[in-house]
Amino acid sequence: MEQLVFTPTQDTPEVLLNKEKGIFKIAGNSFSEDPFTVYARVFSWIKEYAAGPNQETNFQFRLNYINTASSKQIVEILKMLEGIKKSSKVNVEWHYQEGDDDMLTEGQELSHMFNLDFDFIEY
Amino acid sequence: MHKVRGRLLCIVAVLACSVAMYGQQLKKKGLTGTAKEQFEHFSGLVEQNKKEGNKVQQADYLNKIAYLFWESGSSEDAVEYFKVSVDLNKEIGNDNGLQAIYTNIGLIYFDDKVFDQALKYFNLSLDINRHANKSRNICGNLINVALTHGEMDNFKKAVDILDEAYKISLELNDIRLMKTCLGMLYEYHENLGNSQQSVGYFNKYSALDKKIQQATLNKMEQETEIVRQEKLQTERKLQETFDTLEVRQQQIENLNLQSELERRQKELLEKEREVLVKESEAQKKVFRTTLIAFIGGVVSILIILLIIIINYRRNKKTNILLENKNVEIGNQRDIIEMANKNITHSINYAQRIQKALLPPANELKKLIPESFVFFQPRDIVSGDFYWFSKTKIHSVISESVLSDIKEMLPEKKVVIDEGIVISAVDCTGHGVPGAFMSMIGYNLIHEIISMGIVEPSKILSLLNVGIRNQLKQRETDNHDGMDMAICRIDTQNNKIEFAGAKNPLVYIKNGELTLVKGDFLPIGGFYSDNDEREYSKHVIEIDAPITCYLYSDGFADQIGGLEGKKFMSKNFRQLLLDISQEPMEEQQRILDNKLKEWIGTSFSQVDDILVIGFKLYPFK
Repeated sequence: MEQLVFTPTQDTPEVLLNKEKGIFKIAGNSFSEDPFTVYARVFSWIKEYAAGPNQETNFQFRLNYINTASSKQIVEILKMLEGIKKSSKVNVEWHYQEGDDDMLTEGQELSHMFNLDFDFIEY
Repeated sequence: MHKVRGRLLCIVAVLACSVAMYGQQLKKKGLTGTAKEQFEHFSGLVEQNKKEGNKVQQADYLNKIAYLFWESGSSEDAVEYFKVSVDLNKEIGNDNGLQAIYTNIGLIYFDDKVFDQALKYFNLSLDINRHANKSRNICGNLINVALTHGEMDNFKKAVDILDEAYKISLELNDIRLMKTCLGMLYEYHENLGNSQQSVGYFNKYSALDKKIQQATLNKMEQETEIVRQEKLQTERKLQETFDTLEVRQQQIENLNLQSELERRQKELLEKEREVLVKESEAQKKVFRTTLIAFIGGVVSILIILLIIIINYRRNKKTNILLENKNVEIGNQRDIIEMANKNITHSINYAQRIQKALLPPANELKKLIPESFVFFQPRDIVSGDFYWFSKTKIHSVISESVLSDIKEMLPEKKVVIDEGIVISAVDCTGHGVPGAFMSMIGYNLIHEIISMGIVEPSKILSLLNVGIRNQLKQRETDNHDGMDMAICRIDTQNNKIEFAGAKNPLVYIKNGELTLVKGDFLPIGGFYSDNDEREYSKHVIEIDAPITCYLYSDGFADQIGGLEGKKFMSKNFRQLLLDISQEPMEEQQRILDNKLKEWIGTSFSQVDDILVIGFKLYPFK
């Protein structure tokens, strides 16, 4: 399965999805006016991945600033990850910057919404 | 690259083998046929000279035997014989012979890819030549050493050695050596990744190559000239002969020696024919040379012309394309500029509508004298908005009779409660989409409060239903919504009622900051499918002077500082605590300055920013 890579821009995040290496990562800023262009590719990648996932799926979010539109895309991703749980051990790593209570809270709220294991990691 | 390498090897081999122009085509092991006979013959001579003590001859024949083996591909035997010869040459002190043999041994090892040995012998030869100060040999040795290093991928070392060799070749003004050095320098620098040097040497190499070709051409011309001169000379001689003959003929005629004359005439004819033949040959030669030169010249000119024409046409084509593109880009720029102008105009007009709808920020002072609204949209129109109004709750005589008499008694309601509702709202998105949302939100709040509903938590619940209805969120995949904080100041009971959809209330009382978090659910949008959302109701007593702040997340989320980090809620709350004792105007000014400072020059505002602050004292 081909990897999906987006280099970060000022308002779109870094994306690295690589099944072979077991790397699933979204990092940086995400406040594009139209985040769907980036996330649509992420969704279709995960959809394909869901057909035959690895034994373990450790999905990393390492976000600095996300706007409301982007956080909805994150919700979509988490929904999809919940769907993979039957065939893969899914874990969500939620990284937040030291002192960024907002990002921690956002992650905690998301963890309540989904039946997924969350690790909260300060960086 | 391979071409250059091939040529290089060839040149180096020619150089180094100048002592012995023995080919290496025969790769058969052992000596056969004539070679075997020669071997036996030379071996005999070696023995004979040995007996006679003639070491020079002995060494010479040993070398010849070594060449036989080399020629036949028996490199080990060749080396063995060369080595015996080396000892003899050492004894007789024949350094010149020694350096040549060392080079030969080096070449054999080089061909056999035994590079360390090759290097050893090339260096031995080099030492001798350095000692004897023979520049041309030194240069040849250095090239061999460099080539060996090159084969061993020691390009750095090879380049260092070549630098010296090239210097010597320049001193010698030996074009062939220079060309060899340049070709190798070009190749090795390229291998080292020094593209700049590599290109430099390649250009020098090409220039030299051209020079050599030019020299060959000149030589050809010179030869043609010589032939022409020869021809002229022959003609002159012929003329002289003629002249002599004529005189003789006259004499003969005079002497009337007919037979002699005939004989002479015959001779003359013969000579004439010879000359004619010679002349025609010379002419042919000249013609051939001239023809070759001419054809060569014409072909070169044609090729150059062709290249020029192709380039010209390509450039012309590119220019035309570029011009077309420029015109196209120009047109598009005009269109975009026009569109941008139109859009900006229309947004500016939208801003006027938005401004007309929102109460002026300083209107809040009429309701609460100590207050400020720090409102800084990211774009022309905003997705954040504030709402404030004085409210009146009318009592009705009785809940049960309400439905019956409502139509009849609208004016008989009695004001039993007065308050102020203040709200800071952050709609999804900013700019035009945010502004659309803000219109819907603003009107819904207005509508709800006009219905007499002033309790913050109820306002939020109804707003949620309203947004979901208006945007048909049950039927479509629309997920837009609002985060907001809303307060009602109950002036009669000295209380503040608060409810929050995601956004909090911060208040400072007795120098202490309290954060009242909003509920997790926003208004409208994504998270829940059911319409019935209950929002928590918070009540804060106004028993001492209290400064309250309502805000959107724009300030805390602003990217800036040195590393492009968010300002962060924690720091924002600390900032509010720090400035809470200042007069309200001053507080607004500090917020403005802090924000500008944080954004700096490297960043720009990422979202709409709204902060409302107000200070209350217990009401009598």
